[in-house]
Amino acid sequence: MKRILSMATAMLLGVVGLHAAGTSAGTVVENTVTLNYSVGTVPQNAVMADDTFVVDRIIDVVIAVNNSGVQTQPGSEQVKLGFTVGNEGNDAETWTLSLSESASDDFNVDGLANCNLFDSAGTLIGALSQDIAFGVDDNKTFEVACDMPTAAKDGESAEVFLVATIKNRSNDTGTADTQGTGLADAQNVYAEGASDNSDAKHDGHFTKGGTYTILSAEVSFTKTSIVISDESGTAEAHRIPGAVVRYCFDITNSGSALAENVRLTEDLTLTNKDKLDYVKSGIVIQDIGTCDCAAVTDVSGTPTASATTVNIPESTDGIDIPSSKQACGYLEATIK
Amino acid sequence: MKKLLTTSALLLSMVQASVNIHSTSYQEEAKITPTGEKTKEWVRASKVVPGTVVRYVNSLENAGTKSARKLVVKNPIPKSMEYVENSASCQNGCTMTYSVDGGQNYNNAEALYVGVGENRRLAKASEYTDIQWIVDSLLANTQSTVEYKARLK
Repeated sequence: MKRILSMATAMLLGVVGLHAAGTSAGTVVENTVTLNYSVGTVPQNAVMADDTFVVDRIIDVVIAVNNSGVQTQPGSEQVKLGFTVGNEGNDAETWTLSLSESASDDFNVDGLANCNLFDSAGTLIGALSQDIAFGVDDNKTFEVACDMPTAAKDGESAEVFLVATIKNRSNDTGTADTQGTGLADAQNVYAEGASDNSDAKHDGHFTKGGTYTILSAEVSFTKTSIVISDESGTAEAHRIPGAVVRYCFDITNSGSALAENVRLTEDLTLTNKDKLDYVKSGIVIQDIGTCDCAAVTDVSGTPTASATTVNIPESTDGIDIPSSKQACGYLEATIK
Repeated sequence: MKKLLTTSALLLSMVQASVNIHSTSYQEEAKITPTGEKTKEWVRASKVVPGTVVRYVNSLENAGTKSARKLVVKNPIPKSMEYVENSASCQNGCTMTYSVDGGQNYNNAEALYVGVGENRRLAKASEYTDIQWIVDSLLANTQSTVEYKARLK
């Protein structure tokens, strides 16, 4: 496990953090050369010369996404995507972190303005955008939290982009060069690479996308009824007083997520209270197929005959229906 | 006697000033020719960031009337730079040696070691601290160059 963690850490560092910023911007680099020589056999005084330049400021940033493809549900609030932002330049910088959205995914988050930025300790920094100060070779981990729209469907995905934009540093590439004599003479050279969402290289900003994927239960429900027997005892029973009928419930989860706490409520107060006496109920989980409720032998519910409302199952916890499963249940009653 | 001393002093002052040296740094810059071809040329080093290779050209000029002999050029590599392997050269023949101890000792690259005991090994180019060129002679009114490349750390 430790090895796996180490490998994972190394992979992450391969994206952000291994690149040393190098010599600091403003460093004066002086090349001093000394010449000794003779004329005839007579040694002459040494001659010296030097050349000096100032190290310029490399503007570079990298963002890695730490948990892209985070699974969530429609309507979930403040779902977090993790990012690591690394200042790869040779000077302290302020990078403005903001968000944008993909135009080619399945849905948009429920308002970019509702997204928030959290630090690595889970403390709210605020809504995007935020100016974040970085030291040389400084990496910071953030979480971007957004709300999911209730209309998002199972299997759909939305991509949001975290964008880091350099603050208060114009690009001096292409401007007149100066060798300089100190930090004030260090020129800015944009050096970040091309990145997501067609973000070109060397433009002072870097973009990285992370994806939300919707996993939801897709539940369908049908209700039918069959007659089990009547007092005539014939094979072809009819719905006559004294006959036993079953209301059949077919609840199918064709989605990707577990449907939890599913509970049916049969309310007969309006129409059927004076016509039926309850007998029993049951419900089973099976592979998706035909719900043959006459064959269900489970008797987990024993409602009183005079009940006006029956819950199936009776447990208030309901029943969980896994992805690609079907709950097949019944409520049996006698016609008065 | 006095006249002889004055003449000698004059001659000495003349030969003392006969050879000058200048150091100039360059970096490669991408260019596009009028025909659209991409090319690179060395320009004065002025937009230098970590990773940039700088070419140092030391120019020797003998402005005197006599040949200069046994010209020894010593160039400590700046602290923020690391020598680029096999990049030192000279224009008109010379002996090049290197140091890994701040210029106290010089040797050929093939005989330049660091470490002691079991850790003794050939020095890497990036570990060189100084370069020395020895040019046999530089005729009067002529110029020559010695140079090397180093990468900014």
